[in-house]
Amino acid sequence: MTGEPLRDVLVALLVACVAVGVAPALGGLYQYLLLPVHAWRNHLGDAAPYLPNVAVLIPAWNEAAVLAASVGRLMRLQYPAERLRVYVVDDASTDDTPEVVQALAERYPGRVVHLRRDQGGQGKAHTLNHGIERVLADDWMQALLITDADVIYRPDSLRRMTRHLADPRIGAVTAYIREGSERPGAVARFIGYEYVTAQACARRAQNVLGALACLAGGAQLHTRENLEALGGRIDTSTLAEDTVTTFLTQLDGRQVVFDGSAVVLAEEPDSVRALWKQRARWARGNAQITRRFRHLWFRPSRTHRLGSFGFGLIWFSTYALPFTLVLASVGLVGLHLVSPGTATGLFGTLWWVGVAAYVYVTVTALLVDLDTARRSWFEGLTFPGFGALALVVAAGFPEFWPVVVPGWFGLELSDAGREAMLLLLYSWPALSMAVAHVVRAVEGRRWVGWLSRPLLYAVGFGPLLCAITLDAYVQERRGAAMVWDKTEKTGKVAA
Amino acid sequence: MSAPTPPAPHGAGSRTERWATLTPEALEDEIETNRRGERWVLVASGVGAAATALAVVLQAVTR
Repeated sequence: MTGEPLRDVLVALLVACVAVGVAPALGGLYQYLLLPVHAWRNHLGDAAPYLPNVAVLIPAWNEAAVLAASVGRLMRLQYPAERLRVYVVDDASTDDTPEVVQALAERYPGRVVHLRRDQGGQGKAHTLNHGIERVLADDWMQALLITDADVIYRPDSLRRMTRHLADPRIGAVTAYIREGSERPGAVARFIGYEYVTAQACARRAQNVLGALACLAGGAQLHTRENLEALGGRIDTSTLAEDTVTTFLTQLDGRQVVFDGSAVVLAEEPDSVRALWKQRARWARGNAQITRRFRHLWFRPSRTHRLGSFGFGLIWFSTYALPFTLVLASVGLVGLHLVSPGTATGLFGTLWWVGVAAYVYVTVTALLVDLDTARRSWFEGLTFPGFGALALVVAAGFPEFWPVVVPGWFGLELSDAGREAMLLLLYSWPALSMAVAHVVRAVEGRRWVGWLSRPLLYAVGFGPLLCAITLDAYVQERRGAAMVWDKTEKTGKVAA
Repeated sequence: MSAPTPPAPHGAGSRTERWATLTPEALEDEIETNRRGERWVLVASGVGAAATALAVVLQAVTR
């Protein structure tokens, strides 16, 4: 300690804030370091040819526009026709859904079944339970595939999922949902890249860990035994019924696996407003899961791997990301005010973390799914946003923004200008989440709507998701009503 | 084709048609092919690591 102990304590606290701020990047890197292990440590070695009787459950509320395409694709799966039945659970739709499903049932007699709920609007889990009760009442069903009305299955996808069920230790399998809009806009292309990182890469890493965070809602295949062990019902108390099912399956000692070669296509929202509604629901669901399963985090068990340190690190790296962005900004700005030299040194050190996370993750993810990379390479490169990329450049090349760039125009930045620029850079992690609200606010507005897309690329998709997540936590904290909003789809998928 | 499966080799079309016959032998072959295809993640990670190392070296040289 020096003669200014209080100042030293403050500096230490601020350095800790910055260190916590970069922890999620390390968690993400850890996940990506596990990815190559999947080359030899995967479940395909224990898979075997297996084509059980599969009941496909499609919850549908006003899905007339998309059902014909998705059910038609299921009927053309490369799978024995006599071993596949589709049950569309019509959640008291008010559009043409009943007529569309009836027409499909007549076209594919005995293979497509229309189940109608007289009272709907209670949420997806209630709709699914209506169908599960029906299929479990019949001994025919050996496996249940839960999907969404707009998901398009590639011909080989189902058999690539069922092969894992030949291993009796497996309770459920999930496929890779790829963004497949026919004409994707900026938001859909960002989602396309995000799904490569969050599914094709992250779920492979989770396969290696032996603990999966979530079975994709649009592609989850359960054994009959697993469904019965879960009580024959999907949890209805949270907004993340898929995750609850995934956790309960693993807590009961059955394994859950992801097969990246089983690919299905989904049309995702292409506006920030629609995305905000969808992701706020998901983030609230994750907050509920974190609380509900609080007894298992970082507590290793012999029956499952959900309590392992690695899985906890991955889960909380995502869960705490919005808070850590704020902490990083508070730490850097505070240090700049209290101890500018420490701030500069720390900022330079952060370059290593930033560049490692960005280059390694981006290059790897783009290569893991080349089809998506062709559509979304620019969104992959700009995923953190131009603001965050400017931050990485500033950390690696301190003179670039204040000296080199003004020099191109024959200008010289004043001391006040340099100070303002540094403060802007240091506060950007938190500031970007605030600007994300502006992206949503101006979208579709007269005169200013055009600003939404350039701002989206400036903010980046990652910080946008963080802003949505923080908003969701606030909603959850306030006890806002749990609403199952429908994400509007056009049914146009480039399959 | 899913990305971890490398670019389709000559004759891949006939191979996928054979898998679609759903015979145990065909499905075994598909599993083995997909298992080998998973090695692509090793290549992707290796290229990612090399690109990261290159970025670090370039920064050190040009700073």
